Amino acid sequence: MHNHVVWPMAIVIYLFLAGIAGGAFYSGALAEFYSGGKYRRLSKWGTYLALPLILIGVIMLIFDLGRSPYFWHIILKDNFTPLVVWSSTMSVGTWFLTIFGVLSFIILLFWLSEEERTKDWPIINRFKGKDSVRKFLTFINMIVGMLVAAYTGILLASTSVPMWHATPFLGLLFACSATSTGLAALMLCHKAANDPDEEMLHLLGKADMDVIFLELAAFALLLIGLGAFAPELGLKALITGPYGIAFWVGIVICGLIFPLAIEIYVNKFPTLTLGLTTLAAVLVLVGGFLVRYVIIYAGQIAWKA
Amino acid sequence: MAEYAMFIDTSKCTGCRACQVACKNWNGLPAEETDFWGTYENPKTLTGNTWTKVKFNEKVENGNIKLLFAKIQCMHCNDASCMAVCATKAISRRPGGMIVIDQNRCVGCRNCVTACPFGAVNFSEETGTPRKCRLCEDRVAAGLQPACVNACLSGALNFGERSEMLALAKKRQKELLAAGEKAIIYGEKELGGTHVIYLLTDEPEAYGLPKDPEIATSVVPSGWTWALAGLGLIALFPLRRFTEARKKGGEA
Ligand code: SF4
Repeated sequence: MHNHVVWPMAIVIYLFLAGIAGGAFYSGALAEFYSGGKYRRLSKWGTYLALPLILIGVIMLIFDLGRSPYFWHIILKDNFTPLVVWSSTMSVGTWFLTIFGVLSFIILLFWLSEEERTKDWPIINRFKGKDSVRKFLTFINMIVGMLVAAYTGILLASTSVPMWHATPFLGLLFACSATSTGLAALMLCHKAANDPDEEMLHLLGKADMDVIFLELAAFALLLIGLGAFAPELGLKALITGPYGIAFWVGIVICGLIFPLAIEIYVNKFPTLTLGLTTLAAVLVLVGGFLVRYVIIYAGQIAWKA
Repeated sequence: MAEYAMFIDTSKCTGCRACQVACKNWNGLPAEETDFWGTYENPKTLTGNTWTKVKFNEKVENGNIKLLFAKIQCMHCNDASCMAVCATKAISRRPGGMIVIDQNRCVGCRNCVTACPFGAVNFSEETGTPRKCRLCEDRVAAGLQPACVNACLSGALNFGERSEMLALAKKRQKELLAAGEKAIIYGEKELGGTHVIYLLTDEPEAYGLPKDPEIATSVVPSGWTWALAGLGLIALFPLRRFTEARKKGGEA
């Protein structure tokens, strides 16, 4: 039977994980730099999140290929020299992803060398006390992480699926969503690590609040653009079609408005925090997943129906 | 090698589907399990195993139903979306203008399937790759016509040098216009010129063809501009909140 969904759930999950990985890495890195080193651990958590998430995502991508054993054709020619196809967002994005993965791994070694339990590991000590190198690599990888976050949206846009292609805003939307989910993941790390610094949690919440405002603006642009250029297969399919409820209840209310309200509230009354902020973070993650899921499925099903 | 094209004169098509069968035959493609869905047109869409089919478009005009037959397949665009998005360089343009997928290079990512504006590139579960019309590259190299053209009895399908096919299309257009009928040429300019050229007896939309098709990659530059501007804003405003931490001092 002909399957209307060309890019299935594996792609949804991959785009979601890559977004968190990129978002957590560059948000953590910027937190370190902006705070003058005070929030260095956010940068560390960002690295600890980025590498496994990117790896899981890439493994899912590879298994989703029709010819998985040949996955290396995406970055290498038949004679094993590197291949970059500039017109292909997938090609360019895979290179960002590869560089991001390699740099994240190296940066991870620097962080590991600081940990108590790695004292006796071989090699790892060589990475010890080289924080300026680590910072330099972190700065570079921060930019690569941003490119990874953005490319996931642009990959969808460079197709003929009307909902994805009709406007130039999908990369912007996915970048906002990636940042928000990345910040949410860092908030959950704060909880998981039992970190006593509530001030840091507040700042993560405040930053996320601003990002959600931007994401709402990006959504508004997307809807206006779809209304103008793809009213049926874009706008209607997104906000009323079979995924309409998921869009309004899942993405807009649970994923954006609700966590935003919590963050504004917590910002006003900073004494009531931990549980609420955790709830906001979980909602942001669920919403971020639904952003990918609804756009990918609703877009394809409307196109091929 | 000359630049080739197929010319499809829809005004002559009788909907017999000989072309559809000939394509299956020549390319050794299996039959599909089909349903009756209110029309003899089958299968519903092109697939990895059906590279061409005749669409039975229906249009209601002054209370009458007009049947608009049109054979569809890969258009072999000059600005080919599939070729532009393919990360492995599996898709290439042959000297004759055919767009061909190298089945050994392809990894089965299906970006080309999502990119094609005509739904002509489709995934085959059996091979794990997308497969589509190759404009019978093999037959043409041997001096033959594509299998579908060879099978066509009505004169709706023609094949030859692109310039000649275009001239044929224009000549036929003149005749039809002179007889007071609608006649629109499709594929001359669309997507940088395609290697399948239609003479349509109604608007392209009535045939399910996109009116002003765009190459899939057309939004990439503007997409990056917006995304990078957004990320710049994110780095400069929301995330700069972390400078507040400095003022409060602490263990730095
Ligand atoms: S499915 Fe194959 S031919 Fe199509 S874009 Fe991917 S690698 Fe290229």
